[in-house]
Amino acid sequence: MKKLKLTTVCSRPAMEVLKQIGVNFEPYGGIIPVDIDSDRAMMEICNKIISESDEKTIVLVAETGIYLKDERLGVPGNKEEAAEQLKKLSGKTHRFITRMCIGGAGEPPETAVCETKVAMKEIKEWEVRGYLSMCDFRYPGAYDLTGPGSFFVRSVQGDFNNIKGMPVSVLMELLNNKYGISIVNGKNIFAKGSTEK
Amino acid sequence: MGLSTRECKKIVISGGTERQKQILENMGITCELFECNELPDMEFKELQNEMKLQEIANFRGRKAAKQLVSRTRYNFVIISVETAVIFNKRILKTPKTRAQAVRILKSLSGNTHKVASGLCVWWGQKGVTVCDETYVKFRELTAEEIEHYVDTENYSFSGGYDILGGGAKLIESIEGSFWNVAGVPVNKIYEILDEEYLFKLFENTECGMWNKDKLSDRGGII
Repeated sequence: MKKLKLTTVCSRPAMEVLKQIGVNFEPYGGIIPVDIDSDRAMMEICNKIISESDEKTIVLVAETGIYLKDERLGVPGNKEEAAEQLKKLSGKTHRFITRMCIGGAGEPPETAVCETKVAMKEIKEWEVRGYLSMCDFRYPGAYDLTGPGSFFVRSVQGDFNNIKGMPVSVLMELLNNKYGISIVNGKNIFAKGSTEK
Repeated sequence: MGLSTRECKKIVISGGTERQKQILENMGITCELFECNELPDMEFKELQNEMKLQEIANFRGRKAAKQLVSRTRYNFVIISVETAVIFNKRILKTPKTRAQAVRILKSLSGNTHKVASGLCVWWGQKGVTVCDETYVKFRELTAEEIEHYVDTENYSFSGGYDILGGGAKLIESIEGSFWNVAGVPVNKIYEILDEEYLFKLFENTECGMWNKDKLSDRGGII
């Protein structure tokens, strides 16, 4: 099997997911010139990295946002913003949407999207205060599923790894359909990068 | 009237595993394990699935409560969880052999199963027992994938997979509580403390249950 390298542009939690499922990869070491705020920007970055890489490299760009209706919530900069976000999310369902773009030398990159719904319980004023007095809120939506913010989560519907930024189900489908690669099937076909498992 | 802050020290998981302890500790909740691997007596086997799990949890909770509460009054909150995969109306055992694991994964492939947890929360003289359920849908798995999976992953879990480990490669989607599938139904625990014991975790930020060092800097999203 051709030795392949997987270069990734994705968040830290997304990289953790890749490690968890045993996929070797190398995070892209260069500078990302634009904000990944659209499919077009994503493909632009994907193409740029492809042009910098050798033929045996597959480039994966993944970007996740949390949306309440159509409003996208970023990472709160301070406690006040965090409190406001939690109030907005309280008692409602929000969505994690990850857009992925995957491609290699000599082929147009392919994009895919994955949506996961998260329903929050009613979050009371004092819960917000207590939570923010102790917890790290530097996540989109001010919470992270692996932390105490999960006490606020009533239920998850969809691919749960999508919340961390790496929807495994979609990734596996892309790798399989596009390259015939199954990460459950054989030896890890991606060469070990600078990130050890 | 709820139980006061100074009376609350930590959570004790009766019949719990290191893994369950880790999960709670990563959420900043201090806890201890209380060894209890016994099962209730024979009659409980007649119970239906979810009731069985609740009975096991309740039994272990009561056992720990008897031992701990008498000595230390209200200092501990005792929880016990018994989680299992339920498919085709049956509880799937933890596979002991490779062949069993393959058989189980084959039956789960492409289908939706339920992960149910019997949960008992005991504090002082009172114990509350409930059930939490999450639906898990598996991808269609090829025979080759299943064979490779059991050769490389730990299948000693009910249903043959671990959602926090290799199970991520098998699961297409879930519906319900994520942590319930991992064996610690945190939402229900929180809800019970809040509604049954009138103990507000986020209001009692000074109680011994919180490990603040774990909470203040988790690395953020960067």
